[in-house]
Amino acid sequence: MNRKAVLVCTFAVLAGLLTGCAYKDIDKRFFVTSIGVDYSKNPQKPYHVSLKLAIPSPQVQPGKTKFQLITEDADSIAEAVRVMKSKVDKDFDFGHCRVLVFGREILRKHQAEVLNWFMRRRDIQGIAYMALGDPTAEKVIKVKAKSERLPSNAIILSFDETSNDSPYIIPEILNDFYMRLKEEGIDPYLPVIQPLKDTYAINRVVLVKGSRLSKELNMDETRILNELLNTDRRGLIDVKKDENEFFVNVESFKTKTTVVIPRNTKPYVNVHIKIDGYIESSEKKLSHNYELLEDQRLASEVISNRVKSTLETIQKIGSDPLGLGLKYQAKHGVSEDKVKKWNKIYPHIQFKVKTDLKLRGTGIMY
Amino acid sequence: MARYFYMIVFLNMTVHIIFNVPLILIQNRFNGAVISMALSIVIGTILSYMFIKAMSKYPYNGLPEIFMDLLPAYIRVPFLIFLSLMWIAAGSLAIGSFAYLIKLYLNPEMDLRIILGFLVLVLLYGSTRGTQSILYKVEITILTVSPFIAYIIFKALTSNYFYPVHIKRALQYSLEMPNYSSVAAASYIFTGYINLVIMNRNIQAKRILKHFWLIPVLGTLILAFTYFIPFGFLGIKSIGDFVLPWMVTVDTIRMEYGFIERASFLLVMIFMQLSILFAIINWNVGLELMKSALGIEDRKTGKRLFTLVFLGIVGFLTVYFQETLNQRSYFEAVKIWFNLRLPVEILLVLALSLLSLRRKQA
Repeated sequence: MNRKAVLVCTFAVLAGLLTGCAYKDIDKRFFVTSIGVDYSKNPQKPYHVSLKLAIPSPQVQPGKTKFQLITEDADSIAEAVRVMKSKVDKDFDFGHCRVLVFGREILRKHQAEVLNWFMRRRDIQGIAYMALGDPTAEKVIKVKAKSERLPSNAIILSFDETSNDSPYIIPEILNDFYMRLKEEGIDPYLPVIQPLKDTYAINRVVLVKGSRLSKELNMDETRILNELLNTDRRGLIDVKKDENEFFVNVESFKTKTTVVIPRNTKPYVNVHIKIDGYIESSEKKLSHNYELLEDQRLASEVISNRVKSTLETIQKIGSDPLGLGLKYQAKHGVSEDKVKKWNKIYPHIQFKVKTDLKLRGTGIMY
Repeated sequence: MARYFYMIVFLNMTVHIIFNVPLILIQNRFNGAVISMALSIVIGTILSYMFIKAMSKYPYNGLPEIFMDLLPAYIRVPFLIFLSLMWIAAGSLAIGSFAYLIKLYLNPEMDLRIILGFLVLVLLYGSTRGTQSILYKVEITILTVSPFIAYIIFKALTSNYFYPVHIKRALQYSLEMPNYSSVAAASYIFTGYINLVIMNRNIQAKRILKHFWLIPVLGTLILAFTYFIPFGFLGIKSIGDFVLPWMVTVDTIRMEYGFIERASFLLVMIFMQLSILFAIINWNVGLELMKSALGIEDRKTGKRLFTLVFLGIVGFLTVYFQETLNQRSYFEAVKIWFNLRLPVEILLVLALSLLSLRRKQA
């Protein structure tokens, strides 16, 4: 009996220690939902950091999000965050920060330092989405999307493939960006977010050459890059040749890329694409099977050409988002000589694209 | 009862992530980590087979009882005390490593001493229970945790950010000379069998030998998973930038439909279960060895004074040890313990096998 009493008392005392939020209640915290980092044009204080702070409201309703935006210039992100703490009444909590937006200039000038802070902080999630803000990160963060129920939720949902599978959006997360940046033979990319009134446009991607930001791809090239990256996002393929115009709704899109270095002939990259799809819209009636097969052949040709020209554009930029260099290293070795050799091969390598398109049907109509 | 044994072996195999074995291997990724792993699979399998075979000749006897008949007191007592301290150190180092993890990911504002102090209190309660009830706890924990481990591995292998090509690149470095540190660390994965020194009182070693193939198969699979999966996410260069490569790896996994999206919290929960259980087992074995060495039979007399004083001192030293070191030198200490463990383990297994041979002849 005595022992039981002691045990009960002990557990009662221990239960008092179970105060969930590390001794700081939720009403004493400010949840940062997105961070933007820009270049401030002042070389002494180059980092222009903006934080979007969620203001909790009793009702969660679409379009009724409340947030506060605070900004600060400082000589490092850590310093900026410290200074910003003096501007608000509560402690920052980065645990819900899922969106990191960067300005073009800051990544050109201080990319390594910026990334280091985000990678080192344990409360910045490795799965946080990274993006480039166009024209600036602050302007992207400032937007109050009409549909969002929580601050910054609109951007998160656009990047999330379970809610939005637009083929123009290529999400990139922090850990993956870091790996791509550090590794030789694969280069990172960042989706570009443009603020519109009450919403965003995310339909381009900016490539990185080595460790420096390079050129942007246009919408169509972005879509093709997305398909080549084997993400689960599906799209629509438009085919137009002479009078015949039709659209293919893609059900599955799989690519297999191999780097082939033959002994005597020129090295080339083999891209094998497998697509399953349906006709979604067609100008002419497809009453016979041979017409469907003809369309199938036509579409494969069009896709092959498109993919080839996109790959050549990326090659001209000098970036390697598909990790062809890694594939080369996996076969031929990781040493520095091999990396140098690949860097010589890549600008002149040829692309051989082959598409297996299968049109499964024509929808409800012939 | 043999299943309890395999669960302890499995526990030891998974708990090595907390011990940062992957880190030691990853540091040696260009200097023959892969071949060291292959070597350690062979060593671990042979050692565990020899040990279980030897133990099976003494049914329901622990190591102290076996030594009692065979060795004179001036060898037996110091050897048992030394072994006991090795076990206790394993438990303390594991719980200390885990305290760092809690401090980093769950409770950054809490004092490290307080975190570790409470963990030690849990261990004090757990490790003074009877060996049999600890075995039941092992079963409960393994059964609750293994689905989550399987889920994390499944999520990792099907993730969009998992690049098998990095693993192929890492394998380019497989034909390098192995080094001792990697072998010592990697062979640790098999070391769960050694808890049989006390568990043999409750588990029949003969039954274990029937399913012995499980040990090399499980060991190889888990070692391969724990070493190669981080490469697939982090690449062979940037992986060297992280203190806890597995935490960063799991942080790259997103649970789209999960209650929480960040998979790393799931891993912290798994670690919590496993490391506390692991430390309880190790302290319990260490305690039993120490009690037998000093001839204390408190189960019969009911006087628990020695147990509590001894474990109290151990708990205090655990906290004190972590207080004096920083994280870097703490992991160095773990490495030293690893390097010491392999020869001790070989010595123990060889001694026992030779003694058991003599028994056959007699």
